[in-house]
Amino acid sequence: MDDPQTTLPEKKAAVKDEIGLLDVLSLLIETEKVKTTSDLLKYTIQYGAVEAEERLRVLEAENIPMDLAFDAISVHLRVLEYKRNSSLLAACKDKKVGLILPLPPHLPDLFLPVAKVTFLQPDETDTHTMHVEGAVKGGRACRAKVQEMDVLVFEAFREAGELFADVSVADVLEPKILPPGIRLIAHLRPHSNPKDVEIQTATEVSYL
Amino acid sequence: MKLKSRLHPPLGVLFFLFAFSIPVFAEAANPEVTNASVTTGWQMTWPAGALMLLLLFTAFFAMTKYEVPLPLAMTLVSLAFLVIQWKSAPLILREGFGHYADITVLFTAVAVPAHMIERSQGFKWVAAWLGHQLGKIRLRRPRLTIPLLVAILLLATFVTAGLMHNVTSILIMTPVIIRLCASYQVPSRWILSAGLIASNLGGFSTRWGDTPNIIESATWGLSAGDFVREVLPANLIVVFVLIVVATILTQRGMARRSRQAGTAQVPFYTLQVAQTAADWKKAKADLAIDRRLLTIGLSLLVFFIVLHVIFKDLAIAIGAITIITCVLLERKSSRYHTLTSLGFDVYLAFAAIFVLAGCVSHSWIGATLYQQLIAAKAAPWVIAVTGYFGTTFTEAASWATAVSHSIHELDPSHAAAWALGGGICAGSSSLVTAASAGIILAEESQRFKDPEHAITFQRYLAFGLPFSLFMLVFYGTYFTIFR
Repeated sequence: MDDPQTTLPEKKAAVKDEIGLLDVLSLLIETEKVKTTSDLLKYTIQYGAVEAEERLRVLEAENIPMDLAFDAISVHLRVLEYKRNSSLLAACKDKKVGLILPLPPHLPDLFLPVAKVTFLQPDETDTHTMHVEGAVKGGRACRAKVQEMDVLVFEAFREAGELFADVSVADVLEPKILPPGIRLIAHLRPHSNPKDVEIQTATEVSYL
Repeated sequence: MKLKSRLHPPLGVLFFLFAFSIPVFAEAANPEVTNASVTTGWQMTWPAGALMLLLLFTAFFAMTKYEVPLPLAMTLVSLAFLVIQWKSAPLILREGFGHYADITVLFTAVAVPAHMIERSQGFKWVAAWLGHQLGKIRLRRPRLTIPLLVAILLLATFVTAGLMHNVTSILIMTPVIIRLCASYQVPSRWILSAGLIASNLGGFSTRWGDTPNIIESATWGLSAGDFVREVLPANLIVVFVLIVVATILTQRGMARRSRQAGTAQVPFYTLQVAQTAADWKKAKADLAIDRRLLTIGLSLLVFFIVLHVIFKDLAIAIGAITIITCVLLERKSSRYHTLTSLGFDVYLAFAAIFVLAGCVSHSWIGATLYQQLIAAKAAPWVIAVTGYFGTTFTEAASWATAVSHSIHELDPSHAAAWALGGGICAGSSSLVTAASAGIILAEESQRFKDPEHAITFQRYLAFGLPFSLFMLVFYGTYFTIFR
């Protein structure tokens, strides 16, 4: 089963974004590749979403129509995701959280109300990063600042169980400079970037 | 050495054609050069011309093989050319910078708002939306995917080049093409190669779309309407042919890849396509669009394009207003960055190219070509052929600067301008090193560190050279018929 909070480096490959399955199934329904609950189950098995698969097996056995079955797993998976994210955010309450830019715009909104947030922009030359007043800029300043942090949030790409991040972000996440007990939270992007390098983490990585 | 032996045969063929064309067209005639001091001297002898060509080829070779940056190579070459010019150097330097002056303002006026749009992530949003829609099409009608992908990408490159200059277009479109092709496992080689030609065609279709156009417009007094009426139809025909050729080659690439993979079907193919499409949707949702930058960039780009078309004589003033407004409306901390968004190296490269052009036109090379044009009575096809080879061996902007005034003196009709533009456009498409956009394509595509997407000199040559020769024949014929 998928538990983003307890994902150790050796377990990275097992992590599966079950919420991502909903978008995939929704597309397959829209394009009429999925017409029955059995089709939903077939693609869910192929995707490797264990939680949804268990649920769909029950619904298929009960002859629940496809649209209802999809709604049912949709609500179920979203509730699960909400609970996971809530517990993750609760663990960050009143902690010093470093948000390493670039990040999607909705992520800061999750942390700002609950934690003491510092924005870190290691790549000063990246003009595409969202504009944040008061961000700590530059690789050296960011490397110094992360030593005061309890949690670091960053964007990464995952392939074959390995994590890749922008070279400037990877520089800040170097295990040697991170304080012991720091928590790492990755937001996965769906594509790699030319400047990505593999990151090695000594601490556990959670996914948001 | 292996690379060297691969590079030399096509260059040798081109050089042979170039050299062969001289006795065919040439008849004795004296070039009319206004200043007597630059019509005599060692720079007007053939050994000086040969040395200049040698220096240029060395620079192209260094840029291709040793990845020497274009501004560095061109600056050193232009300085070496000034040494060859010796006492005439100050005059040619002033002339070169005279031509460069207008470009500085006009090009910056397009580039600054275009870079603001790019920084706002607006283009990435469009690419993500496109990726999602293509996934849906691939699930519904798989056979339509490749033709649609090729047509959309090449037309998008064509249009952005027409609106924002071809260099900006290739900078924006290269990562989009690579990401879309990689995500749906479509070979990117032919689409990227065709993308460079589409950007040259788009640039050639508007008055401000390419540096040679800006120069020709100033020389012939061409309006934006002239380009739309007289050049755009020809370019649309070439774009259509380009889309067809790129589609066929990409489909063949897909088929070859399937054959190499064997008969085994891709596991969970439908799910993979749906997952890719869903990934693009997520990528779109994750993008932080800077609405302020997007609005300012778009509004000022439209402002500049529309007003400088309507008030042609005020183009420089309107360009200046656009740059000032962009900078003032930008956030305080980013104002300097916005003003210098093109970068010192771009201005350096342009300055070098214009000086280089001045040196070429006041040399044995320029005089010889001028003689050819006089001998052939500036027939459009001769202008196109000399434009083609001149661009292939120098650079698009430098060739336009070097010859446009001479050609205008011989033939002030629009047909001469279009033939020169057509020849330059075809020449820019022949080699990846023939124009700035090609150098940028090579650099950008190699940033992805995947040989599948890297457009090198050799990988481009197989597409660029034959298609550019087709373009040359087409433009030579078209502008001879539609004078």
